[in-house]
Amino acid sequence: MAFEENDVALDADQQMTADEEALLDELGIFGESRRKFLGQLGGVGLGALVLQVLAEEKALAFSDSETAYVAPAVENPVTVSFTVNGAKKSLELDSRMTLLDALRERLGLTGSKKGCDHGQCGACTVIIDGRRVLACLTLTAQCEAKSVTTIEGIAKGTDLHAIQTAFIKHDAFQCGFCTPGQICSAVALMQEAKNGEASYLTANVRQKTGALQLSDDEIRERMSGNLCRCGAYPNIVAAIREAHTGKATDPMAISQMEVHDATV
Amino acid sequence: MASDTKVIGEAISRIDGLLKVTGAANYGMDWPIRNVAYAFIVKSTIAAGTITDIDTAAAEKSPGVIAVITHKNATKVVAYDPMRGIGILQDNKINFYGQNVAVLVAETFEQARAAARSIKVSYQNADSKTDFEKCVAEAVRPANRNDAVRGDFDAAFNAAEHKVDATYSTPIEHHHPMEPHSAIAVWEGDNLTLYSATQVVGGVQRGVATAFGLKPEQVHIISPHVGGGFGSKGGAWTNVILAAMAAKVVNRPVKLAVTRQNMFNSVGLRQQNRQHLRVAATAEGKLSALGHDTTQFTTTTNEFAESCGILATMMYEVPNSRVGYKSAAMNVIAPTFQRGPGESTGSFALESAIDEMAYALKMDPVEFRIKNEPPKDLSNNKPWSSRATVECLKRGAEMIGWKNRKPEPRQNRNGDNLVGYGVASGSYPSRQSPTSTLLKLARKGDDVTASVELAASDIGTGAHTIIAQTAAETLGLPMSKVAVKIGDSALPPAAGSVGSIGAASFCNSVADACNQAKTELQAKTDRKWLIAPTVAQLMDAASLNEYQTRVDAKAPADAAKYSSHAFNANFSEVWVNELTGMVRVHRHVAVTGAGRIMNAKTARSQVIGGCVWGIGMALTEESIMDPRWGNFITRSFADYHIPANLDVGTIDVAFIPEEDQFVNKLGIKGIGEVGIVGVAAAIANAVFNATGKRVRDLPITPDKLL
Repeated sequence: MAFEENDVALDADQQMTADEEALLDELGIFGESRRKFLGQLGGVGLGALVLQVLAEEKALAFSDSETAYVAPAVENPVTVSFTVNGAKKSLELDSRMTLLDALRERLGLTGSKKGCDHGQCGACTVIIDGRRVLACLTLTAQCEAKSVTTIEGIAKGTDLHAIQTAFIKHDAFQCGFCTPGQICSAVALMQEAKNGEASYLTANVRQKTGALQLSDDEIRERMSGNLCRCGAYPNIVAAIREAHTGKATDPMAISQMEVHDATV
Repeated sequence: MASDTKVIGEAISRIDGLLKVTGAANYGMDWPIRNVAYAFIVKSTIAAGTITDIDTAAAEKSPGVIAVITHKNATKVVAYDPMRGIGILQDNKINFYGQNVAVLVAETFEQARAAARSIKVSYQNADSKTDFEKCVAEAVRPANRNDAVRGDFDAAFNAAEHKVDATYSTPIEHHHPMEPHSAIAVWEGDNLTLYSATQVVGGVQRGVATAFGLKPEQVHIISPHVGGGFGSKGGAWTNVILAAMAAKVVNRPVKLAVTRQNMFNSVGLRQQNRQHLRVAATAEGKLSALGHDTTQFTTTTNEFAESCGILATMMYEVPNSRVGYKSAAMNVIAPTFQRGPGESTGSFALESAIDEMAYALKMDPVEFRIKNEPPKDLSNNKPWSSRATVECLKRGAEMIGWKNRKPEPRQNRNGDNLVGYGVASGSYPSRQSPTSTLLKLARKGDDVTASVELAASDIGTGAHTIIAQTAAETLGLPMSKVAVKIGDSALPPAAGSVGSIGAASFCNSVADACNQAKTELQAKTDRKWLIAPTVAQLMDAASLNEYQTRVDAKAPADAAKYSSHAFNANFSEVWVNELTGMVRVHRHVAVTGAGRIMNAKTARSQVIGGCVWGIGMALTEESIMDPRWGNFITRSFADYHIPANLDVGTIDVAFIPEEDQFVNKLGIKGIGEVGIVGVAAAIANAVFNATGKRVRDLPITPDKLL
């Protein structure tokens, strides 16, 4: 759906290399789901780059991070039991350890990024019990019994979230460092819009509304907690708009010219 | 199948996109290395002087601490870079506020950070140079910058009928890539592996090797994904050296990241510039004299001069010009390359002054520019390899709706907003740097896969993708059959992602390697072909299932006969709230002539990024140093405002189709740098058109308009 306009015709089975096929077989991705997964990637195929990275990851990764990891003796330890991307975790850790550091340094979930460690850039945004939260301003000790979703848990298996496919299609990133936070933020934003939650731009915050259809400026405002130094903002807005409205747009479009009449 | 391989230039999604949207792309601190220790840096709290005592006793006893490294016990390393290498704990001298004075290594990040607070440093203050206003009074011409003189500027300027004489200021700016500089250092005997994101893989390798007295091949840099650089990741800053030193001292892998606050005084900056512009023109609108004098600062250990005046030497047909520089040494972290180094800040001054001149002459600023279009590069008398300035101006004017612009300010209004339109043109040189590529081909029957290997880097520019496109099209293979291996110093040496040389250097080298493979394969057989054979046919004819070849590519010899640049025109429509003084870039148009565009989608994004950088430069970004102490009082994203999503309106991008036969074989000019050039001037000129206020001092904050 999202990539119909792509000039590179997708012929998944013909374009697959033997290595790619082996990997997808290993991951249990067959038939229609294989076609769909490759379709999400915008016609460039699984790509040898992805294979290469997966292979490197495999070589380096802890087998089961939190058990293989030998935690150093910590001061003032706290034990926290919570759910991360659907899996139950129980960690004994330094009471000062932020959720961001616990995810990255203890659970091996390095998708969430440390851009500022002060709640100013949004690169560490994760979703806790349905709401977007800055993991760098959250102590792990606050997460007892909570459910945390990180960028690694946004796709359902190989089924990318609509926000993820729209980010690829609209080139809503360059370096990609802020992207996990942008995507977590955008995924939670979609729910906020469904709930009719107010923003700075809401005209009357006392008025209860149903599900919101967000304007571009509403998307901009509600995404302004996630900085992108590469300046992908217009593409981020286009990607979220597409996922939010379900209406596919051309990522290369030039906007309609607006004319401002002189009134003086 | 053939159409699948005609991919150069197409709007193809990034091949690294899946990794980036799922969190699987590994940046510097993301590698799962076992048994790491964590390091934390302590910074100086004076700008100049010496450390008289450093008390580490409490830190050493602090729980979890493995080592405290100061100049007293640091590993001896060689001074490797007068710009990036100040503060590697080799002596007690302090050159700037925020210089490294100690490194803590502990079992956990929390323990290292906590222990860092207990270190007590005593200093002997020396006279420090931290007040720009005072320092510039003693500014002198940098040794590496001569005045560029053409004709007789003084006589022409003095005799002119119409003149603009104005001074423009730009503040200190910081790069602030979203990924702070970092490294995971792992020693195995005398061999060092550094997981560290960099724009220049070979540069970091050489810097670190020099520092530790190693052969370059003993230092392995791994950097497949770079979380932004913008010039600040052009080489090994001290954080990389300290990570390696700490790992050596504690004899285990060490992770060290620069904190966001310390990004202000650890990895370079763009220095403050004061630019004096003198423009003279005839009543008919022909430029007769152009003077561009820049005064700036550098650090006390390194002479770095941003070439703000370079556009004044070549953008316009002006018979008399003089471009000069002065600089003063200050106690501050070293100025370094920042996006559009020289051209971006220089174009703010030059293109504002050109706008002022057009206004004084009552001429349309687009027409004024076109009227002074130079037939060749007057700075060196070389012909242009191609130049699309006029096309960029015309197309941009159409796209922005230039006809809606009123020549006089304050004539266009929308509610509380004054609406204004501004234009600026710009340029950045195009170059190809030496780059080697190793191409490996593997065949199973008719199925050929290629692996393209070079120590290039992808800092978000899309290098992975355009390299794959180049190889796919040149070899006649689908993109999915091409593996791209970059960002690793063990691969053949390549240019860095700096100075807009990446695309031209990487892609020409990759294309050369692919063509060479075809030629070599053809030479292995007597077989004749009715139509051009596929790589699979060539390998089959040569009875080969595997083949590899390598090229060491460099710029074509004839390229130096031409003046090669990318050119652009920026148009901005700003809305200035009359009540609050807030400026919003409602719509911005950037049109670029940059030769062959390798990927329409990623190129568009890169130019949008340049515009967003220009919006920050024009409206919000300013690092403020306390002139008394030399510390930055702006030390977070709350104080140093880079554009957020709501700060950016609609941005439209177009490219002028351009086939440049001279710049390099593929006709690639590069777009990363030129994307920012002219943006701030277009916005400032639009603000003048909206309000009638000429702001010559960036950023254009509300207080300057109310």
